[in-house]
Amino acid sequence: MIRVSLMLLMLFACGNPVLAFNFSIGGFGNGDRNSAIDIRRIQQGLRLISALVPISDQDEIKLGRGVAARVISRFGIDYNLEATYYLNLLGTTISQRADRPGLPYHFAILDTDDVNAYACPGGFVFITRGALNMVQDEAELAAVLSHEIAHVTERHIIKALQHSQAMKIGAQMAADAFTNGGPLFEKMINTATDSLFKGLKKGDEYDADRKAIAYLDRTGYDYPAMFDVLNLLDQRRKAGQTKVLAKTHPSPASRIRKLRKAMRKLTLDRPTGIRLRARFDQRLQIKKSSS
Amino acid sequence: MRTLAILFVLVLLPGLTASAGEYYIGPRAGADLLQAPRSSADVIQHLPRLTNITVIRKRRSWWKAEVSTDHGSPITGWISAGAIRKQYQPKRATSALASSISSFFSMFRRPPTGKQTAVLGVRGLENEAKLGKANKVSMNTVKWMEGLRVGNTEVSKFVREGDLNP
Repeated sequence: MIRVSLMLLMLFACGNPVLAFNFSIGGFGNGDRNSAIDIRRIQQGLRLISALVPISDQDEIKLGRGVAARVISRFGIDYNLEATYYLNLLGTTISQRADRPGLPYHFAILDTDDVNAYACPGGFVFITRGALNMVQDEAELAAVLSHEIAHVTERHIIKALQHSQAMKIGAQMAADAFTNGGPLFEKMINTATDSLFKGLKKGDEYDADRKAIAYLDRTGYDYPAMFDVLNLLDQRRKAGQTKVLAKTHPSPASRIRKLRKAMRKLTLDRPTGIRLRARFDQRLQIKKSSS
Repeated sequence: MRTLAILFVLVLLPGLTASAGEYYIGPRAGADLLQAPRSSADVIQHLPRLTNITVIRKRRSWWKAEVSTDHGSPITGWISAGAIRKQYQPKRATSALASSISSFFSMFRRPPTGKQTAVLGVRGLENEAKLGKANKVSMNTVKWMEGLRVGNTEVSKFVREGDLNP
């Protein structure tokens, strides 16, 4: 009976590097050393496949710093300190009313006129200068940030990473990588960055839109601003100005459709009408009329 | 001797002549507007953080600036260059001709430092060593981002001013 079970395990292990790795440690590959088989190690290997490697908040922040560095390497930062300070005030206000209020969030402007925004694990959120110039008031900017904060609170990148090949290394090795850094940790950062640049699952984007509406409502902003942002994106898309965003996100029209459907299930207060256009213009020193 | 003088003028003049533009003091602390370009000079006025100024002359680490006042005439003095930041200027749409001229001259422009054009894992890396260097530079920017975190008092004030949910 044991022999049959072991054969089954061996067959299962052939297609899986994790088990292959664990078997080689236990000496299972050596036919004449069957006595040295450590059944417990095999069982441990099996558990590794079924359970996702846990990633703590601290590990997530560490990973997020690496991903954020790569985002900055790609685009550069727009060092407008007053605008960045305003962005941090607004983002922190929303994040304190979001689902992971204890996480330290950081916000910055990317030095590109592309319309996009990125949320790295651990609370590092970026908005491009193009997106900042696109939105018309504070409520719309809050909608963009709420969507990105929702990616962080729902751990979308972390989930993508946990399901990736980079994490098929076992809990102990993952923990070591998070503690000591090294090539394995670099691989995790690269995988997470790939997920960010290639785009998340469509479901994650719809999910983030739904959460964004809830966060806007909790903060007191006029939550229909989320639809205004999606309409603005649709206009830009039709004008061919959101090529990167179009590759990584579902179409704004489908997002609007899904969001309208999802809103029926959300318990929301009446729209507040708070848009704060004057504060937005003043803080960002954008004279929209002259542009 | 004459040639040397001309060379001197050509090399140093751009740095010494007037260079007007919108700047501000900040972002963390204010700065003193001084009568002369040295720290021991008399203080004309203390400028709080985020005060808008117009730089009229750049002289190494001391810049001559003009500050507008409530009572009309602006005051002029010297400020330590380290306390001055450039104002945010959102990019404006340019004409087609201006864009073509700009893109032609961009061929001769040096690429910015601290930026990496190759995209990790998406389009492949051209030079991993360069990326390593770029990531080190970017990690400093990440630390800068972390240092910008706002406090609860500032957030509460922001919420109150905007009439948002407490």
